[in-house]
Amino acid sequence: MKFLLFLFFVILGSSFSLSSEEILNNDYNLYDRPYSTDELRSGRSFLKKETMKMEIDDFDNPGMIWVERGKELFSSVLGKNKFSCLKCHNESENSLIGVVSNFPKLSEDNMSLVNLEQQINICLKNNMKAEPLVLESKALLSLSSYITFLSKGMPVNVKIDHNKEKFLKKGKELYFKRIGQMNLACNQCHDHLAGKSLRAETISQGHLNGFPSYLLRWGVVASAHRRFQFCNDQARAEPLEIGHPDYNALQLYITWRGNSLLFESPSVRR
Amino acid sequence: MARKNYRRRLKAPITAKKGEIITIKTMAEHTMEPGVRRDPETGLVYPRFIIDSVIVRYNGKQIFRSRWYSGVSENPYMSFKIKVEESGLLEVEWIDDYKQSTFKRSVVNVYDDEGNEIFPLRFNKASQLED
Amino acid sequence: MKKSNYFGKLKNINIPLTRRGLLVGTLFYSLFGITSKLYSKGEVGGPFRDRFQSFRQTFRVEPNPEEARRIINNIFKGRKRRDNLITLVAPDIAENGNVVPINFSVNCSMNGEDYPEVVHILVLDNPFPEIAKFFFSNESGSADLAIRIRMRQSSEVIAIAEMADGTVGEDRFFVDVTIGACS
Repeated sequence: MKFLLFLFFVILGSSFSLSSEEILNNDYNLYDRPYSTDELRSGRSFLKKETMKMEIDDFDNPGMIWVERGKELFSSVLGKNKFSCLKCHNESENSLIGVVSNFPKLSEDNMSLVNLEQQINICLKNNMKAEPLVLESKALLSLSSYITFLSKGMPVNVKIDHNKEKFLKKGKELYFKRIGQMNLACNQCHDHLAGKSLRAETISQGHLNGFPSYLLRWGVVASAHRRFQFCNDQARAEPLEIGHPDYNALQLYITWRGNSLLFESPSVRR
Repeated sequence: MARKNYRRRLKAPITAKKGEIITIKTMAEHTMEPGVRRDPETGLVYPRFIIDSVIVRYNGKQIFRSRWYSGVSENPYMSFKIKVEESGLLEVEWIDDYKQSTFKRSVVNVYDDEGNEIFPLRFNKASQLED
Repeated sequence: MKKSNYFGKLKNINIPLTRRGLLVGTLFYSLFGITSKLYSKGEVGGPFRDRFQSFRQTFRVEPNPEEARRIINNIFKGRKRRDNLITLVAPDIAENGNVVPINFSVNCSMNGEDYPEVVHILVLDNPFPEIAKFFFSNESGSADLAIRIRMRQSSEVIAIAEMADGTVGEDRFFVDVTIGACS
């Protein structure tokens, strides 16, 4: 009798781990995309028409203030070595047009991912002998939104090679993982329910082609990591810090997921 | 360091015809703190800091004035129309709560029907050589 | 107690000519001067405005639509109304209460006395109902303006135009401000 009860509880316990989460069985394909190229819709198409007008016009867009400031910072002397970014990155050599598709990229020792803001800090520290800027500060976001603005209109083209594959896998696991008090995973809304409304707002497909973007709720340009923190807050989960390697992996997966959309930064989002 | 945090932008056409009504767009970078928000941890109220008035002058003469209160959104954008009769310097001044002003200027060239530019010159009797 | 001759009309106030007396006297006189200057046209309304936005007012205020209606009636009192004077365009549902782009235009000829002297924009359910005031003149080509405002909750946006010849016109529009998806 006791043995039967024991068997019953063992089977009950093991059935929890065999429950159907989409990612736990090992024969899913890593390179599966939720949307085909025709079904992809950028976040701009989910905005109301007044906000879309605000985004399309270069003058009405408040994010252009950051782009202008980034352009000035790019050409100003920033560190002890007394030259500006223009010395290496000008039109004739090492032009930064189209470079945003490479990010987040592998660091020098192939051990971690580095996104655009962290790469700017690495350039400042090593090449220009300046103090690295605080993450999510106005100056750093201005520089990164200027560099992303240079690739505006070009398609997102994140390439995954052999070394980046494990980070893509980690990002995909995080995307499918249920978090927070609300026990929500990203794929439940953004893969299956895009286009339906949730409390007077339409759920978007969740692409990152417009980031760093001007968010109306804060009135500043925000990076993708700050947006992830807000997503975690809304699901009542503990948000990680800006620049955390988990967020970098998630950013890699989400940007790759939107390949062939056009870069729209600086966009205007809610 | 070119890191000012108080950018002002102004968009006005460069050429216009006499008597034409032109659209002018302005945007300022300002947080426009309304004075009712509180810090979530300490409970202290962020003090009010907004742009108070906007004055538009054309060739030194004031043609448009506006007063703002805390209801205007941050990074405030305003677009208005003026009528131009002669070429001149358009100047927009933003004055804030602490009576500090910032300016942005732009030049508008006004032509008449034949293509001659109308200059803002005034002749008084004493300077006329004839008569 | 000497009667001083400095304060002509305020005869009943006896201000002694000591240092303390003069200090208190100048305080009184300057207060009177400042408040009388503020009642000039367009800056602060009459004695019914117990909620005017003072320079450093920083405490939390609850919205009071009765107060807003009182302000509107003060602008309208005794003046003739004119129909179809002002057109207000605003979104039906605002994307975010922080940024609501609105647009108004006054149809008048802008010649002689037929121009809007003051255009008020008010929101009924905001803690401070007045949003902005615009002063036009004969030289402004047309009274056509776009601005972005803040709204705390779904309410009416009201635009009131006071013309130079004494008539007024108004237009109202109801804007919905909703809570977003996750927040």
